[in-house]
Amino acid sequence: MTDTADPILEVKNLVQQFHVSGGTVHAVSDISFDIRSHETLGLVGESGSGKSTLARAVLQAPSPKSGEVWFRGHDMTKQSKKELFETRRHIQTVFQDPFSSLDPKWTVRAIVREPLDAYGVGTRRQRAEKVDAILDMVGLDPTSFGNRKPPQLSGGQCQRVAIARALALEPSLLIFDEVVSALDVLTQAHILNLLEKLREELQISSLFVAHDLALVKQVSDRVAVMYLGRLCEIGPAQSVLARPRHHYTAALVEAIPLPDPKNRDERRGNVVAGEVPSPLAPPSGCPFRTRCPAAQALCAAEMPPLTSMGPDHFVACHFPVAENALPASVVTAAAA
Amino acid sequence: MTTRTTVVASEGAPDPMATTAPVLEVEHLRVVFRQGEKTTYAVNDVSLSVPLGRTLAVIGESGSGKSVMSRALMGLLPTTATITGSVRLLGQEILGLPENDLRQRRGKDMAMIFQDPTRSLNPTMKIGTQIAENIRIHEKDVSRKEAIARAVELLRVVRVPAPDRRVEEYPHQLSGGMRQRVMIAIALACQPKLLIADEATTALDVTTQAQVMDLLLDLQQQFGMSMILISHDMGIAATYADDVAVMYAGDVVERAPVTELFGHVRMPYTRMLLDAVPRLDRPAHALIPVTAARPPDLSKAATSCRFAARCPRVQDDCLQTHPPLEEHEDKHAWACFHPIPLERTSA
Repeated sequence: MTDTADPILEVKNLVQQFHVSGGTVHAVSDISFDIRSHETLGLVGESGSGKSTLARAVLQAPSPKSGEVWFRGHDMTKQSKKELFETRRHIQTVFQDPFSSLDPKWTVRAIVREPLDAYGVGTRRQRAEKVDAILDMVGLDPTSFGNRKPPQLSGGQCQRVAIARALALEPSLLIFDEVVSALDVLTQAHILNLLEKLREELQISSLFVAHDLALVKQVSDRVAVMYLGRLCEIGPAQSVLARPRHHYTAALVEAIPLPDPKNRDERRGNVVAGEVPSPLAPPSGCPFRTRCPAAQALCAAEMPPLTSMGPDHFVACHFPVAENALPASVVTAAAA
Repeated sequence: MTTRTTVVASEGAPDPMATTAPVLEVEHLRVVFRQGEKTTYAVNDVSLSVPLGRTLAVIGESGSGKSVMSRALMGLLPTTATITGSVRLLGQEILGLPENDLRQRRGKDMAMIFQDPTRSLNPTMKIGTQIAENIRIHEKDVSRKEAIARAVELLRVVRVPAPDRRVEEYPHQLSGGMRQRVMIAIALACQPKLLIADEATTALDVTTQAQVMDLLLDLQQQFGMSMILISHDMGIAATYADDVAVMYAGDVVERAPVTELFGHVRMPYTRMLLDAVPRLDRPAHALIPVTAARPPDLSKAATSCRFAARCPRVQDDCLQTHPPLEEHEDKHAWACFHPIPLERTSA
């Protein structure tokens, strides 16, 4: 990728593997990307695509098998435990399940204060003031919520607490892993609005991991699509989702049930066949070739490299989707 | 309004069964849970009907009562539930039927598939045996061997690859999508007239969800079934249903044929729900119009509109009277005193 307008995070040739009784799980295979200042990079993929593993490998939790993760001038994979502790202060994470990521016995204030205590930020009093200010920022009134505990909160409120905790150390990079997937659609809307507000006010960069393509399109500047541990396509959200060039991205876009019955007959019955192969034995060459409508002999022989398809838009495919090949109904919906 | 009529008529195909009795007729269904001091009005005065061969989507958030309603139809609620009203399946009242009679109807006339196939399947039993067992419960004269042969055939129908090998496998050997297909095979074993799918594709990936939904629609045509899709997903309703009912806090608040509903939303809650759905056509970083409020208190019977607290169109009368669901236009019913005017609702 040539255009590196001020990247805050650079991931190079990242590989993550796990050894299990049946062999080796190839969870993340040779992935490179960057996250630029003040941008949200959406990372989409279905379950088993390796998107969460990738996010964790970036955090060195656990460290990747090989590859580099550059953040603030350091390769995190080479950092000592103590150096990593300092680096992690600037990268904070919010996970999908707020109930299991918050200690049920702690008060909301204690949960949000914990990272400040851990890094010894300010005086006791300054920390207390900071906690209340952050709770306010995420839309939780500190006087009525500060002394409650997670079991007394709704799912949306728990997620606000988790976001407040992530903001406490004023990180420059936030990693959101399926943060709204467990929430009802109206609660989800509130949290998304909150994230937009914070993005505006705090100018944070983020990696937004989710399986919901429409959701990712709504929050991201650029989108990366993963399949079976590989990056298929990465580029501006607008061009990747409105004019996908990888057959897998196209299949994902077509599979979304749009909340509009217009032209539904042409969308239905047009689903990509088959299932995701096992990451224990990924196919040779392109991992999507076993389900791809355009697969040829070359696809089994060689893994296609990421190739430029337009401004800042890269695709790993030997025979990319022709431009504007998607049904008009899908394109107009995504291009608006 | 000619264009509108054409659109409505063209969707859901010609309806030759329109004159025959609906497969399912629900009238004034109420479900109240009483446990000690605590009372919960989970479903209030719901009336619905599902004609033969049509698909009704019941859409709502958690706590809207959609799943309680579907379990009430199936007779699957615990004894703490008081159910009143009428549920007629193929013209016969099934509410209050003794458990034994109901068990015969379940599976044979109506079947249900749930969100989590892992919990519905027995992990220690082969796939084939589980399907065969269901056949033999309802058809006593079928031999075990015959039932297994039919299980293989059913797996083929639900497009499980290599069905003769799969019958010998256990649930953990299958993917989530394949397990849900097995559940569908079990549900179809006795060719029910009504299939209720309760968030049946929610846990699946988007491409698998599309595969399973397409399968369900194909099977519906093949077997002439009616379907109820219980879901939180407006996209599922828009893409796969003929009719849509939107539930909020135990009430059906809007009900219409799918094109009419999505084209002319009248109930402010439906509008808010629809606006909150992530969409490909919304510009990046756009804010979503949604108002905050506590979830409605279901411990008291409704005396006002349950949506009033977060409704942008609320007026005094909404706080004094509970708006009933009434058919204000042909086949389009809403429970609202101040519906969104027509010209502003087109999507």
